[in-house]
Formats: sequence, structure tokens, C-alpha cells
Amino acid sequence: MAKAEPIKDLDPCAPAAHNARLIALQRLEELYHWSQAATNPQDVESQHHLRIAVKRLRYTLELFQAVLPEACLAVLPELEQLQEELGRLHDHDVLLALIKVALTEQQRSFEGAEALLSLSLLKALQGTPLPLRAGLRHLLWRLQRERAAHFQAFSQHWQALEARRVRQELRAILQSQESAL
Amino acid sequence: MGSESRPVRAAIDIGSNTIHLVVARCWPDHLDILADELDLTRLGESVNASGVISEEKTQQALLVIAHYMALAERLGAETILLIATEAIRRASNRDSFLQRIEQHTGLPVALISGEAEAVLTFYGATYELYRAGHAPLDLGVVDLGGGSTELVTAHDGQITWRISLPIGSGWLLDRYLPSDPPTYQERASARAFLQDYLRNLTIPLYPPVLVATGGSANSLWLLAERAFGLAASQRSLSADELAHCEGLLAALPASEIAERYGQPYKRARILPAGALILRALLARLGLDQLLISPHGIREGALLAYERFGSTWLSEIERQGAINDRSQEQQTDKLARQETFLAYGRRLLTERLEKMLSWRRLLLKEADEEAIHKMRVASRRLRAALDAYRGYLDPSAFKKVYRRVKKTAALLGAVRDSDVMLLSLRTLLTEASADERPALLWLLAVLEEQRDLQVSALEEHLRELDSEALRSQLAACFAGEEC
Repeated sequence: MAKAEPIKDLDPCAPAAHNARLIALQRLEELYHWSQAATNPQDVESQHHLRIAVKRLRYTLELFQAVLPEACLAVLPELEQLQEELGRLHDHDVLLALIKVALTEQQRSFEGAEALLSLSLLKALQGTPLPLRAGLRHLLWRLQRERAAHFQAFSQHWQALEARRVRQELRAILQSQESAL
Repeated sequence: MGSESRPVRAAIDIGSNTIHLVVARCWPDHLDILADELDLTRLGESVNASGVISEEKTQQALLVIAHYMALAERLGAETILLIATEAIRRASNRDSFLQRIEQHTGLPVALISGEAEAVLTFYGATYELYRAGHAPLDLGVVDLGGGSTELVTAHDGQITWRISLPIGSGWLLDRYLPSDPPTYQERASARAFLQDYLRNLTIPLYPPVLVATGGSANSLWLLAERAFGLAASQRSLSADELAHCEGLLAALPASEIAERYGQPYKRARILPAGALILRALLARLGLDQLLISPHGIREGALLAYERFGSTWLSEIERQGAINDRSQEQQTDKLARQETFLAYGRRLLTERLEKMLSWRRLLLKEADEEAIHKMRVASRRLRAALDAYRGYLDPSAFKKVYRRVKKTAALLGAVRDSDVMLLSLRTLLTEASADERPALLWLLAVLEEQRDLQVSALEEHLRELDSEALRSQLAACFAGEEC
């Protein structure tokens, strides 16, 4: 995940409420930068970025909830659910990477594995005993099926949020409160 | 009006550590102090040990009070106020103790509430700042006593919040620091207790300036002046200077501190506890400096008497009660106006404390749940730091951020292994015959990896200097005032 972008144009001496809205608005836009994650099940990288962005927006709303408009906190349960759905996908991606690496012949790298697994783990997985390979392939297949079902659930939830115009609603709350200052 | 025409009055404060006299020529906003004397009677010692003020301590107190009354009368005091505080409130024989004083002196003793104590302390500790026009809009006052610690915040001269904490320097000494000088282990236990205690305290607004009063705070300042060459005009102590005091007090027995630095022995004995409490409070409030006021409850009582006359006590009790009722409303209102910087100091300090609270637990046992909780705490702290990037002291910010990031990464590595292990164990419960050995092999590889990750995490957490991290966080806000 890219580093969190610094928030520009905050006024440290202005009320926290004013700045909190600006931060939340930026985190909201950062989240929607990765919205393609919901349309392509294979876009593991975008799903990972989206998961982190959801977490950042959720934490921002929670950290500044004392000074943010109460209405925007209604989105928190949705963010928690998204985080769980994306977390399940990520957990499966890590396990799939683990098994793929174990099935990969020595000295050959598996694309994307280094982003998900530590170097020492990659090294430890080298030299999988041959008799285990069939079992690993079965596991891979099972996990891929499970992942597809999890993606389906996440994607449907995402579409429901789009239909309810949650993004626009949250943005409007944050902006209207700001202009009311 | 010339000073000669102003009345001379005296206040005697019968506290947990000391009996303290101030005689002054009085104005409603100013005092010309003619005498300021104290005796370390330590009535609280007896109350802590047995719940009562012993006969020996009572006799000692009567002698000291008689001596102070004679001095006050010699200086022409036309009013003498007798005030009893925390240790007396706690003593089960307080009624007979107060009666004996009243019989001996012929004067009533005001056994004031914790709320009134906080109001009087605030008036006393800050009147010079307000009179000189140096008081910031928001400030806090801490009165470190022997049996309790009073913490007050104020906005524009009005108390907005206050709390009386049942921990004082004498109390901490008696429970945690029996050795002279206190051992490393004793200090670590006392520090851990204070951190846990203060962490659970809800402080609605963090003052950017904290004024400390009470015998221990003033004696620590005197110690720093004599031991480290602090300028006499500098009525403040930085967190580092307090740390140096604590180090010195841990290295030398009280008798040597008393001899080398001109402190009464009994005071020197209490000072390690005072240094620990003040350092813990500074860290809790995310501050790196204390202003030291030599004034407190006695001066507050004299000012209150000058403002309200003989109804001074009921007026002060009323102010305490009003504050109690409107405290929540006032703090809510002020919280809405709180600046981004002030909010940040509170937010980051609380988030850092939350993360550090798991450190000690993890060092005892690298429990899965504790790792998960500390990881979440580290991520929330990072999210808070990300919001403030670019608006705090860059050098201090970088140091804090780097440490938090490394902590989060090491926690994340173990947590990721825990999640993988959990998933694989779940798969194992419904595994086919050929999946089973593959899963067992993966589990073995991952368990070995986790052991290595836990070792790296434990090594990092052992070396993670919580005090340094707190100081660096406080330094992020140094000079960043609105």
C-alpha cells in the first residue's frame, strides 16, 4: 500500500472539527481511487489497497468522531463490514500464495508472492516433499472456490453501497458541515 | 491603597505530608508574603498504616500548630484560617483529631472537600501568572500532595474540569518504594502502577501548560537548581530535568540527598515518589515541561477570604459544586472549539499509551489476542500520526513515526502468521486424506516461522524505550502552540 498521503492545507490552529472534515474527505477520495477492485476478482493488488484505504477512513472517522458530524458516523458499520470482506479475501490470497510457492519448483519465483509473504517464509517453503503436492493442489482448488464466493459477497455489498450513493452522502455531510462553519 | 493598610492574615494547611503556614498582607488578587514555613509532620503516614492519626502524630501536630499560631500573631495576623485536607478526610478518628485542635487553638478547623481543595489550589498556584498577564488561555494545575493529587484545568481563569486522585507522594512511597534509595524494581513497579492508573483516567481537555504546586514539586525544583545548576529565575522543570532528578534520587540515600542539597531528610525520602508521579502525569498529558509555583491551597484560602470575607469557605464549596454540575457541559463546549493541535496532543498521547499498555503484557506472554490488540493499537496510532504529518516538529515526528512503524511491522508479521495458522487448522478439520499431510507440513513450517517472528518482536519490545517514545511525542508538540 502506498504511504498515506499527507493532508495539505490544514490549519493547526483552526478547530479540530474543521481539519477532521478535510482529512476524512481526503481519505474518502483515496478509498474510491481503488474502486476497480470491486469489479475484477483477479485484481488482488487493488483489493489489498482498497482494504488499507477502508481501514484508514474507518480509523479517521473513529479518531475524530468527537468533533465530526454525528451523521457521518453511520457509515462506520458499512466500513467494518467492507474491511471484514476484504480481509477474508486477503487471508485467502496469502494462503493461496503460500500454497502456490510450495508448489513452485525451486529457484523459480511466483509473481506477487513477495508482496504477501516474508522472504524467510518463501525460503522455508522451498523443497516441498513430492508426496505432498497432490494434497496441496486440492487445497489450492478448495481455497480458490472459497475465494470466488467471498469476492461475490464483497462485490454485491459494494454495489449496494454504490446504489445507496453512500460515497456522495458522506461527502455531502462532510462538506456541508465545513461550509456551515 | 498603601500596603500598610492592608490586613495581615494567616492560613495553616494541615495536610498529609506537611503542616504549612503562610502569613501575608492580603489583596483580593495579590499577596505580600511575610512568612512561609512548613513542618513535615507526615500525618498521612499514620493514616496509611492504621487508618487513624496516632496519638504521637496528634501531639506533634498540636505543637506545630501552636508554634505557627504564635508566629502569625507576632506578625500581626488579624485572621488565622485552619484548613484540613485529604489525610484528615481519610482518618477514621478525624472528628476527635479536629476537636483537639479546636480546643487547643480556640479556632474552627475547616475540613474542606476535595472539590474545594482543587478550587483553592488553583487560585493559589496561578494568581501570580494571572496578575502578571502571563497566564495562557488554557492551563492545568497539579497539586501533588502526600495523600492525593489534585488536577484542575481552566479556561480563561475559570475552572473547567477537576479531579482528585487518591495517590500522593507519601502514599506512593509507603506502598511502592520502601527501600532507601528505592531499587530499580521498586521504581519500575511504581511506574507501571502510575501508568496503568493514569491511562484509565478520562481527561476531557489537555492543557498546553501545566503548573505544579505542592511541597514535592517545589523541592524537586530546588534539587534540580542545586544539583544541576538550574537558573534560579527558571521556575520550571522539563521532563528531562525530572528524569535527572529521579536518577539522582535513585542513586543516593535520602540522608545524603538531604546533606548535599539542603533538603529536610523526610522530604528527601518522599522525593523519589514525587518525581515518579510528576513524570507520569507529564507523559499522560503529552507535555515536556512543568511550571513550578511555590503557592497553593494556603494562598488560595487567603485570596478567597479577601474576596468573599467570612463566607469564603461556603463560596469556594459552592464553586466546586457548580463546577461539578456544569463540568460536562463546559468541557463539551470547549471540546468543540479545541484546536487541531490541542486535539492532536490528546489523541496521540492517548493512542500511544494504548499501544504501550500491551507492551508489558506481551513481554510476559506473546499471547495471540494481545498481539492482535497491540497491532490494532499501533495501526490506529499510525493513522493518527498520518493525519498530523507535516504539522508537528519534523525531527521528533520522524523518530516517533519510525519506531511506531517498526513496531507495527513486527506485530503484523506475527499476526499474519497467526491468521494463516488459524485458517490452516480450520482446513485441517475437514481435510481429505491427501490434504492432511500437506496441511500438517505447512503448519510445521509456519509454526517455526512464527517462533522466529515472536523472538524478533520480543527483542524489539524489550528495547522499545517507552519513556523515550513519550518524550519524543511530547517534543513533537514543543513550540507548536497557537
